[in-house]
Amino acid sequence: MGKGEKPWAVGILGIVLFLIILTLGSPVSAKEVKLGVFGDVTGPIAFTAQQFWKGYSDYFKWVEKHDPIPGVTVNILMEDTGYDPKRYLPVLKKFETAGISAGYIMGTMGTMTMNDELRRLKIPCVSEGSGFPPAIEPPGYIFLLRPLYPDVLTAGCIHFMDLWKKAGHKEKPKVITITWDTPYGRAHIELGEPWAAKYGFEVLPAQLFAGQPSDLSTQLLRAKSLGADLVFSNILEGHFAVLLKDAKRLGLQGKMQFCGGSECRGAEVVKLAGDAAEGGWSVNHFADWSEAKNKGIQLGMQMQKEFRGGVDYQTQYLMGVIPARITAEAIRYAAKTFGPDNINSEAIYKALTTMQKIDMLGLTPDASFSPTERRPFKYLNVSKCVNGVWVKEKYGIEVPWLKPGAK
Amino acid sequence: MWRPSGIFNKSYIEDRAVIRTRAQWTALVVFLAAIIFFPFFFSNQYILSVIILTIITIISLQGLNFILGFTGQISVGHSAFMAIGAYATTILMTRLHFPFLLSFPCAGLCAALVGMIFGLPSLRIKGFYLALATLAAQYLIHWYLLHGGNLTGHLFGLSVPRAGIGSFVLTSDRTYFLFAMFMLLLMSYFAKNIERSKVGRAFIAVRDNDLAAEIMGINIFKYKLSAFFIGSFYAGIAGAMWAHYLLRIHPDHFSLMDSIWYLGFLVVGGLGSAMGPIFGAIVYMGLKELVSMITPFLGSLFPGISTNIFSGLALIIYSLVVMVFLLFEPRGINRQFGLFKAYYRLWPFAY
Repeated sequence: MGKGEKPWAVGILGIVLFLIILTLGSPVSAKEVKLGVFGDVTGPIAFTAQQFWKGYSDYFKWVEKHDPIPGVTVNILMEDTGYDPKRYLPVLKKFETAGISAGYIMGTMGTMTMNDELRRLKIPCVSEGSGFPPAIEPPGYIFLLRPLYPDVLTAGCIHFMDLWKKAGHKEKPKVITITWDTPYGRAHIELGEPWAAKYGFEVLPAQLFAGQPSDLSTQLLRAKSLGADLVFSNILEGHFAVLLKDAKRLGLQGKMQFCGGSECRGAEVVKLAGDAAEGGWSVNHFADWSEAKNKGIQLGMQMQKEFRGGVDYQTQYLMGVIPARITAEAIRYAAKTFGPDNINSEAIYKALTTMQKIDMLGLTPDASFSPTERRPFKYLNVSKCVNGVWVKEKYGIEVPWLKPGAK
Repeated sequence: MWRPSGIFNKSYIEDRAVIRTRAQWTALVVFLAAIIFFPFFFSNQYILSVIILTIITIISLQGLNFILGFTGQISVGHSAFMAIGAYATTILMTRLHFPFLLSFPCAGLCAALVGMIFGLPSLRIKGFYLALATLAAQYLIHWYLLHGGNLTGHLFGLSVPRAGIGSFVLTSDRTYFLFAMFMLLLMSYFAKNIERSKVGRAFIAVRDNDLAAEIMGINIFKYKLSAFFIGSFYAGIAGAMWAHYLLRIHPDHFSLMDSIWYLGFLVVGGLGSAMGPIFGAIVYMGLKELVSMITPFLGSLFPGISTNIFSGLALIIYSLVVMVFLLFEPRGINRQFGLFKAYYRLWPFAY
């Protein structure tokens, strides 16, 4: 090194260059948040669950592409649980080992089977499993995404009673349940039917069916012989289509009203039941594809065009967007409040119980949980099938809170 | 029975021993040590959980093996007998405040008594008709558990206390694995010994020809009911283990489909053998996991047909496996295992 040269300056310059290269070469790494999806994509609720999964995964793809959560990348782990109680616990253990911060459960069986273990592990899960009220009473780590199934019956009864009284009837209307013999199908009976009796209905004995029926004449003829006025069914689209078709064939339409639960308002009902779907009711809490000006519906269409190549008007697709939206907003809130690096199951739990009026883009009313409340929707809608399209019949029916154990 | 060269029995005790050679004793000790240390070196909770559920299924299948495999009586209500065990241990612990050590065997006994009652028709009918009678057990028990009021938890099932002795509670999968493995060894030991006893031989005689057995002086009334008693006891124990592991029970955890698959996979494992239930349960639970892993993958690969085919893939594969075994190896994996053992013992000689 010659005279006049400054070796320390070269050293400093080297260090500065090194730091610049280091900064440019390594982008700020985003915190990875893992979510576990207990996907019942095979088994008895496969069709419904697959639509949930499409809606759920598409929404997160959309978030990543168009509205990313600052400092966070979401990694969704999905396992097929097949609505099989033997699968839930091993999958939960797998997710626990993988370090998930939150989860999504697609059915009542999963909610029921994992409720206690989720409380122990303190992993918050949004859940479609409204057929198991003990999951939220006392409040734990299950956050319901939809009304409890007894609520669905009460909304149908309230609306029917209004019409019954307006029509000038003095006698008690008779309500009968024709439903699927599963925890989901029967979930409204325990709390809902005693409430209906107190509300002024004569409650007829429930008629159950097993498996995937192709004919429900026996149950319908029983309803006819008992003089039912309102038939309530907490069933899936395919079941409801069979029920409506058989009712039409037996000449029961117009003599009694058929009201289905959240899963009964969908394109499949119209597709399978044809004209027989006309006049059918569905009690639900979310928007319909026919509401073209609804922001959530527009988003649903945009997502399907972008990720699926075309719009498939499946109701359950929208229902899959709802848990994704709630979870994404909770992560966003947690990232803002606690910092991206501190997002874990506790932070998401705190976010879910703190956030109020989550903007659901019009897909549902704004959702709110709290430390003591896991039931975000207290106002329900009744939709009616008119000319092959589900349209608004009565929106915003306030439903009572039927606590488990309190009859 | 093939024995290693040079092994001779010099007494009845040696003749009756299950473990005969020093090599077998060594293998047993190594196996037991491996079991005890396995959960402490193996931290994968998922695998541990699957193993625990497999062990529960093995014990249940061992029970069914007594009824179907040894005695030749069909039971389509085995899952319901598991439910009795699960509910019995829960109710005894929560309502009557029994300690786990007492409620657990009582659960087996309750299931055994209920099983024996539903086994009564076996004295008059058999085959298809007995299947229908036990099918009634499945439906009646399921119905009762759903409509049993507060006792059975209405539609929501029951929350189950953890298993434990005194202040030692089985809170982790590791401790539960050790408990489950202990139960498996105990129940397998009893199963193996019952099979080799006078009772076991009477069961087999009833299965092979009940008329001939009766003429030979075997009380078929007693032995058919005994088979249902023992088989349902095993089911009850398996049900109680299920309950204490999941910590929540519901009638739908014990479905008719489970009863049917238990029958199918007992055939796959090998009817009427001590190893059959072990092979059957491993194949059943292994397939369950395998199908669950490949289904989402296949669904994403062929999205157009996912709803129609892949949603029922598990049922298709289970059915195919059972059919293939019924057609090509009705004596199950156990026979192939026996052939392999015989070959291995003679190796490198052909005969």
